[in-house]
Amino acid sequence: MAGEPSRERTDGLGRIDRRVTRRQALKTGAGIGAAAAAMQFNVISRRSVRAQGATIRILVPQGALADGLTKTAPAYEEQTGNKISVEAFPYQDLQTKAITLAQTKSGEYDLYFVDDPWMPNLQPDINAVAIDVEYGYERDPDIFDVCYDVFSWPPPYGPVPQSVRDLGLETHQYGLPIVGNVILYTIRKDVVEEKGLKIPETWDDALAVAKAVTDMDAPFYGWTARQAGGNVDSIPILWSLGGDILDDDFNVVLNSDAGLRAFEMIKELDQYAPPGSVTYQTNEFAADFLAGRAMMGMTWPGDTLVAMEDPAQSQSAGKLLYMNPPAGAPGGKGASVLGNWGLIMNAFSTQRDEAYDFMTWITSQEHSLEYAKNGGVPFRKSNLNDPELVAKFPWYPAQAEALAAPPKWRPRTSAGSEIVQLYGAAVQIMISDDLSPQDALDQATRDIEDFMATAID
Amino acid sequence: MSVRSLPLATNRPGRWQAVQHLWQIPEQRLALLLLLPSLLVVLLTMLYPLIVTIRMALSSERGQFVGLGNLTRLATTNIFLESMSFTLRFSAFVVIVSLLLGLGLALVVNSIYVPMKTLWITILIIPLMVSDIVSAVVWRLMYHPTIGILNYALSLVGLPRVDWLGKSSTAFFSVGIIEIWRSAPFFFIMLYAALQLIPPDVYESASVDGAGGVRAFFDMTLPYLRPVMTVALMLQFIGATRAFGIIVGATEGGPGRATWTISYFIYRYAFRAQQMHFASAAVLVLVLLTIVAGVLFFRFVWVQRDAA
Amino acid sequence: MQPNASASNAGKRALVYLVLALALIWTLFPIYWVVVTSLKSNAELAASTPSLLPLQPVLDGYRTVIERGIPRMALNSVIVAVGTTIVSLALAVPGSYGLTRLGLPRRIGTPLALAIGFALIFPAIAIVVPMFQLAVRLGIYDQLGTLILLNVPFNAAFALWVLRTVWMDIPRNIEEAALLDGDTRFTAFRRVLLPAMLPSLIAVAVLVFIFTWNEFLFALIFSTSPRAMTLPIGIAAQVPQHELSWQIVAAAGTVALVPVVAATVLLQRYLVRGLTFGMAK
Repeated sequence: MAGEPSRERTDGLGRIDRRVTRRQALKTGAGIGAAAAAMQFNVISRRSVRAQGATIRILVPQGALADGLTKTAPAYEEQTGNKISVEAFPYQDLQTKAITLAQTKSGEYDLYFVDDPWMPNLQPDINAVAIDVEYGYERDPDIFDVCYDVFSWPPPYGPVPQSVRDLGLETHQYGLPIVGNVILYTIRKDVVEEKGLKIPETWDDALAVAKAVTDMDAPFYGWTARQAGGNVDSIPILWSLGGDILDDDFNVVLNSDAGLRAFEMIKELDQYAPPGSVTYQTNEFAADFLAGRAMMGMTWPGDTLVAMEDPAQSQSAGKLLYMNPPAGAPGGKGASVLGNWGLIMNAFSTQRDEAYDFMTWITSQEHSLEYAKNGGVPFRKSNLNDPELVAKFPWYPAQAEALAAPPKWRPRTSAGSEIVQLYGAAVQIMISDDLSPQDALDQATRDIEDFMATAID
Repeated sequence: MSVRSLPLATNRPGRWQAVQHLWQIPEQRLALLLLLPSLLVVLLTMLYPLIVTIRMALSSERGQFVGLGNLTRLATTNIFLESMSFTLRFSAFVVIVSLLLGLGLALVVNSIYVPMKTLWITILIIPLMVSDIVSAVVWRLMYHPTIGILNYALSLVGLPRVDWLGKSSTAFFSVGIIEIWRSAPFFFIMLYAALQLIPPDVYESASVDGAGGVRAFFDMTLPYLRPVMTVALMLQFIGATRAFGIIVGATEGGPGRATWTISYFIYRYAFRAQQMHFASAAVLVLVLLTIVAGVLFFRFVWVQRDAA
Repeated sequence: MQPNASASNAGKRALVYLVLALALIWTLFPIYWVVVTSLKSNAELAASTPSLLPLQPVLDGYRTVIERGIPRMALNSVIVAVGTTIVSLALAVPGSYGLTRLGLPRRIGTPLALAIGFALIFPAIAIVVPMFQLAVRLGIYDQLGTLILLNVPFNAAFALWVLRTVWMDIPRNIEEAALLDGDTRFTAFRRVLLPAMLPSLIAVAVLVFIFTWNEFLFALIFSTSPRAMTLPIGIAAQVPQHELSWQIVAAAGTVALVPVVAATVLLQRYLVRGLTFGMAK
């Protein structure tokens, strides 16, 4: 009763059809499995709009990550007459919203632009469309396999949670890569040359370089990192030094010699980081590079590299070398973290055909060049090796190398995101000087074990 | 109604009969009918979720019955215990400082030296109207390591910089200050209003007796303020234990998880980690504490006010 | 004696002014800082020393805030706040009247009042999980009406409690006189009681409006699209994580602050009355 007036207003904005559909769908399908979900599709597809002029709604992350998509979309709109409408949320919000939308079987958005660790939480077998089954999608050999694999469900390889194995599902393709993110190590090569140093091969080398160049008064900082709560950018250090958070059976194995060495390394590097960097997010991280006061750091291509390589606003433009993270020991190989973003088609979308058309259009070879030029982060071998693009985006070869390695992905369990955040929280509290590396390892281990004890997997 | 009247009937025989009796009198029947909608809305909003929460708390995330398993696990979960401890320490800090600030300001504004009292009241209660999320954002801009004004101000007077939100200890105070900024005006306005109710002749007789300023305050002003102070303290303490928007806006629970409050814990577990059953157990603990606080509140404060 | 006393008076006066000056800075500077930050450019925000005034004020923050649909969210906030205020008062005015002015015996009235009063201290976070599931099941998730339904009980309880003390302060005999004049209960209510309590009613309405305007938790959990997102959600969403610009969140914060500060200044007298549960007249 109380809601009537405002509901009418909402309807007045032209959403009445979709809302009724959604309500019917929710009534039929409240809280249930795939069978009921399949029924809803029938209800929905009968109502679905075939005519041109459809508006495809996409949930996207805020900031540069979605630039490629939003800037390339007008070309699609012109070509097809369909409209693309995006709704942007910052990272944490986006995660909660995407998962909540899936839980509530909402048809509000046709496509989800989501980070790969959220795949288990989205329960793609219920909430997403298997495009290989429904539309006969076939893999394009030009796209890195790992970028397809990470949006397949259940995971084609690596540890799979027992609860997922119990379902006995076949692996299908539930999404297409849209951001080929993989974490890279970057360093100011001009400073390395100028000071007669050498490009680090190991993390010990990196530490030595950080120490050699740091001048707190100038200021010039040897190490810059995003370290705000729950950040994962230190995981390559852990992995490169031989540590891990979970083993293949999802036991917490963080508290090891390698884990301790990694935590000590993170802490030592932080001595050469800007004061206050314990609460750094992407924006503060990038600001230090833009202002030319940062020597090295771990970074994701999709976040800010376009800005950092833009001579108009960045003092570091053209001076940065990008590479796979340094190794744990001489002759070893550094480990990178996969962080792809994908376009997932909502199973409760009322415009699946239109949505499929757009997701294949924007990820196609034909439009990939334009996508990259607009700031999109490629996932295609041909783009990452394209000389014209490499001249403009100098991190491409390193990114191609890291994607081909292939990089490891984060734990494929619905508890994965929170586990990694609890790890990040322990790292942050160690950097804040409140806990020693060993105590931080203990806290992370205990927290993650506590968390998993009540989680589904 | 029926839910509520049952315990009443068992507690005090005769009350149910009294209600039945009231129903016979048209005027009192009207009273009950007018009250009924509010009563239903408010009670259902509390009781329905409570029943669902109890049911959920008794089973695991997969729906298996675990009895009190979730509650006993809470008792050994560090994240929960530390959230709880932070919440209580944080709330105590906030209300004590807010009370002192609010009381001081009330006495100052009430003093004969202050002209344009209305203007001062208007200015001083502004933060009370500002939402938690906006307050958090506003202060976060001042705490910020590079664009914030506070570290710059410290550097001007030659003091070392502070990681306002970057260490557990400083974050405790920094977040506390945001909450105090919003909460002190409440004490101010409550106590200022209470000061207006003190009969002037109390002071006249005091000045005849030659009582000095400080003693006059403790002997004569404070007794008048005490009931209002207690109400304000209880309400603000309970409010501070719910801190949520401030945490989301200012720290996201960091550094590490040093500023997780109980509400933030419930939110993280229920909506981000999708452990709604385990979170329900934490909700039960919170509700239990609220009932204890409520009983104390109504026993000692409300009865007192009604009698006054 | 005399000069001594005036010297001490001067000292006291100076102390009082010092305290007031500090209180002024403490109260208003944070608000000033958010407004100033909202007018700064990216370049200025990247400078190593912050400036007290925007050197070259730009409106980029506000432009972005408009692009990102903040006006729509502000409108949603208004709808939720107005709806909640109307429904809460529609419940609380008759409720508090019934509770206090129809001779309900204390041993019935007190437990009923306590039951409603408990909502004043009941934690909102305790209802979100069950209500979330219920809203999904009923198909009313992500709608403004649902936010109103969630906000009403807590605000109705608040309104009922404040109005209860207000009714108790209105002398019984003015109503009785009206009844003797031949008024019915309803006309007596409208003709005599309503005007007497109007200022308090306004006070409660303004407070319920502001509480709802500021409400964050329900809006966070019960909205996933611009259809139901309110202003506090829009503000929280502008805290930069993957982008460079703090002026955007500052601009959004300023947008939320303007009506609140304006309401405080314009309606100060009413606010004080409501906040002190009718203690201040």
